[in-house]
Amino acid sequence: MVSAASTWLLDLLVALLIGFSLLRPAASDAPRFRLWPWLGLLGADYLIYLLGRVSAMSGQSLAGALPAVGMVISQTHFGMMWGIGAAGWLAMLGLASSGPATMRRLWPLALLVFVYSHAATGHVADAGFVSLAALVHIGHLLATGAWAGSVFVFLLRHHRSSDAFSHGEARQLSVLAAWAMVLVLASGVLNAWRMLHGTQAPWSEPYGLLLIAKTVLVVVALTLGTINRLGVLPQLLSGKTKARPRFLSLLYPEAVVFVLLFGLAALLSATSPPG
Amino acid sequence: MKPLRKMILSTVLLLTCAAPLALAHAHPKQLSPQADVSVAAPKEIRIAFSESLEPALSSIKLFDAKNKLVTDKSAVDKANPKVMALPLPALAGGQYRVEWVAVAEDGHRTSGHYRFTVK
Repeated sequence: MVSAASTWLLDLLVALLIGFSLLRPAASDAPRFRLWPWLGLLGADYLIYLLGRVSAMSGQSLAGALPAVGMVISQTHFGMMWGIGAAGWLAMLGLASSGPATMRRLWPLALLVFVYSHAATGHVADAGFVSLAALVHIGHLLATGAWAGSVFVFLLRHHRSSDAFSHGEARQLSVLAAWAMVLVLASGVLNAWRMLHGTQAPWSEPYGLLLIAKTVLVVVALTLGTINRLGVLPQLLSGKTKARPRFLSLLYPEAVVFVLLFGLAALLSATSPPG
Repeated sequence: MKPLRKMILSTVLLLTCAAPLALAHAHPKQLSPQADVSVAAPKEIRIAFSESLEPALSSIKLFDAKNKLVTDKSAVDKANPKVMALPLPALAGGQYRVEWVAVAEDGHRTSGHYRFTVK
């Protein structure tokens, strides 16, 4: 349970960081300072995630798993990937305090290292850490993070006032979310195919049921995003005053759906695929 | 940032060539000796799993009919990490219980047990 909860928070925070990387900051923003609390939370959660996974792997309670942490880090594939992720986190922490130019150049690499290591500790580990399956999963995490994270970051920046964002920012969010959505669907279908290919009646097992629930939520997010892009954005761009609050008010339920989606994804990562 | 967007795009372009790979948590595919059989004293217990195992966390233990541990010095085969074996001392006649724990490389743990009888 601790493992699933920490995975859920980890996925949310990674999405947020991807959103920070992709959404052009508003002129008044100082994003490098705002990254600190999120990176701090990510670091704390990454430690809890480690302890939760060591507990699950060793069959011990959380307290009982503590002595096994060193052994898991030094002797298992999960430990090796966790170490690489920790290095990525440290690099992000260092970059958050560096100049904007260095930050722009190296931040994507540090974030990618973290996402890769996180992706490689899931079910894809069975297929190999450098495999097409791992690439599919990394693509899925990046695209999900881009879609959800851009919505999270936009709301964090503009939730106080619907007048604070420009047409350009709204259009950027919409275009980014649309591209990410296509990639989420493509990589999600490939992921599901890989996990369920050749199994009999996968939908009657917990893994299949969770996957159905996840698909339903994706359709809800897709519908909300489509209404915003095709219905509200054109009104906003043509200068209608009521369109701004409507644009924001549709992003709130979309963000809630993403929070639930990441919860289901965390449960999926802890559930045995049908074999 | 554009570089990250390019990375996402190139990653997903690669995915279009991806072939499906069947995978699951580690489950036993082959037991030696098999479950619920009566055999001459075996020299080892050997279990082949569906996935590669983490040697540091996977194990086989053998208990006798009185629930006393006979041996637990199991090891994962270095040449084939899907196979784990437990060398056995000379076993007297009677019923034995095998307990196994398999931690796959994805970090997920499965466990189980079965019995066999030595003639």
